[in-house]
Amino acid sequence: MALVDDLEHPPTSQESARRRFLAAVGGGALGVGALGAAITTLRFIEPSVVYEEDKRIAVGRPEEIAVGTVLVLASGKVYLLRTEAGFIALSTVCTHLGCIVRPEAGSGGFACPCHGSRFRAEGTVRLGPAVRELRRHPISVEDGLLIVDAGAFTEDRAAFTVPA
Amino acid sequence: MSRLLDALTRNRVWKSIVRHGYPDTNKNRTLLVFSNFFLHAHPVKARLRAFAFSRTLYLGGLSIGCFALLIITGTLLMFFYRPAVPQAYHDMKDIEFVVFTGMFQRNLHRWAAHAMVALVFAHMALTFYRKAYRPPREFNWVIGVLLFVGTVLLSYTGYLLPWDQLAYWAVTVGTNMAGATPFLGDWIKRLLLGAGRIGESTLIRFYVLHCVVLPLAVGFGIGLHIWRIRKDRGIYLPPRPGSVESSGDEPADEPTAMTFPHLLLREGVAGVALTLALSLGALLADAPLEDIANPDRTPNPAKSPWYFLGLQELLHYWRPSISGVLLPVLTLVALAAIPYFQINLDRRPLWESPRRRTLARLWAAIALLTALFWKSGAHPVWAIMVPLWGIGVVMSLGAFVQGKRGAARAIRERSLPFWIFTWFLVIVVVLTVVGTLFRGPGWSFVYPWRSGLYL
Repeated sequence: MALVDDLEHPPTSQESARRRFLAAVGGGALGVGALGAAITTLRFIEPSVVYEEDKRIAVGRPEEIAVGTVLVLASGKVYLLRTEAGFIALSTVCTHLGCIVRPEAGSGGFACPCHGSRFRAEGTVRLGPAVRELRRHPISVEDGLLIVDAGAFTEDRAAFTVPA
Repeated sequence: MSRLLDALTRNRVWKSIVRHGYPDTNKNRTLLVFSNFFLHAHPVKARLRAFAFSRTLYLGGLSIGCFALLIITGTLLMFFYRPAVPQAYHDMKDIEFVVFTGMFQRNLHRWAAHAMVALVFAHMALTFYRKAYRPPREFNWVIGVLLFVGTVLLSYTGYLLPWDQLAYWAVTVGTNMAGATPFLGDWIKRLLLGAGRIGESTLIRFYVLHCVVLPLAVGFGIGLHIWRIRKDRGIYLPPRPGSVESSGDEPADEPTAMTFPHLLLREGVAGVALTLALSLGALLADAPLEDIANPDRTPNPAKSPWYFLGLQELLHYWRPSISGVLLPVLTLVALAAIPYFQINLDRRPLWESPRRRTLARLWAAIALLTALFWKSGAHPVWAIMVPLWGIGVVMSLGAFVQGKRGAARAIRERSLPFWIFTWFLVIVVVLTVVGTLFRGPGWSFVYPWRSGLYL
């Protein structure tokens, strides 16, 4: 096999152009292939199916829950309040970085054990670093039972009232 | 005895493995270093000044020593650990109470990890102050910054594995922080969690990162780091008084010494001292293991390990996209950029410029920064403002002190980047100390001498 060194035998300009073209095509194909492999690998790592269990909680008959009652559901992850206006299901997952806030002695609100955010009893922010109020779970009534869906969140700020 | 040694070494098998004679001549000592795979990162002779403990405090070498201990103890722990829920936690209990010397191995692994974080950080600080990132070593400094990131990520992925309360909530906070990244946040978070929330799929992901991906990356990075030091003719040494600094060869009168025995002996002693110190720590103090992870209840206070408490303290002030993403990324970019802007290298003392104007500018800047750190967060950031004022006062002394020696001269001759970097170091220390000792339930400020320690 004979090897031709490009430094000893410089190619003609036409040959150079041909080589540059082939190098661009070959390099481009390699680049596209590598990009495709990278994207495919990332997509491989990304979960395709996420298992989520049903987290609906049947609380009981709404008429048996007196105004002013606070019920602690889901091992403390949901606080169900019955106010004058109706039912509110507060999530105790801190809107800052996801720790579970706890009732704070004195203020009647909640305190986060991780970064010190403070929330009022109805979930609005009293002290940072959190900026968003505590999230709320959707409430419904099925077969006369009050249902709180602890697996979903609602942007609805109005308290839930049982439809007549 | 010597006949036994002779019998062992005077045969074809031995000579085929060790292809040089007994190291009792300089030729054999040269061959010993030169032809040995495990020693080939060393030169045959090294400059005497590079040996001195006081020059480097052996911080880089000790970091590598920690890494080696971590690989050994980590591999041993893998024999008993299953990355599954709830087996992971039960296996930890087994390692602690059933496995022979299991408690010791786990303690050693934990304390070596803590030591490595501290040593790598100290190594970076000393490299800055010694100005050892001078060209042509710029990129090796960048590799060093990346190795620091790798070290921190190794620690972080490591402490999810016990599946205790600390693990669970640290990863909740960490992944939510990653989720605060602009645009890519949700995607990164899902990639880390392997699901919508922390669970078994998160555990296996962190396990693979901790035991395979990150050790390989950091191990490769260490190799590259050392290789580049070797190609740059060893560690940076400042020019000796009287000799001109040149980018090329060392001055001929630079004293050197044989790597065998002098350098290898020092490395060996340092390695043994590190192993003994960490082993003693592992015998005296047990690595913490909290209750099994409980997604329904966050411990109060929920504190990360000490090297993340500075970051946790930062998160108390600004929103996660700032405290957890912007500030760390900016800090790392600023650190990596240091050598490319010749920072702190031209040594122009701050007080060389007109004194009155410099003072006015300095305190205007301090006032501006004070306003920023007072108002921008959810609470005034004392842990950043007080060090700022302290450094400002010490800096300003340089405009007034007259002495030609000692501290007075040192204060007068420092450059502005020196002070900024020092401010950064002091902030890191103060934030960490505040987060560790002065924070109690609900992350409220407490005095440890009144209410005790919350660790």
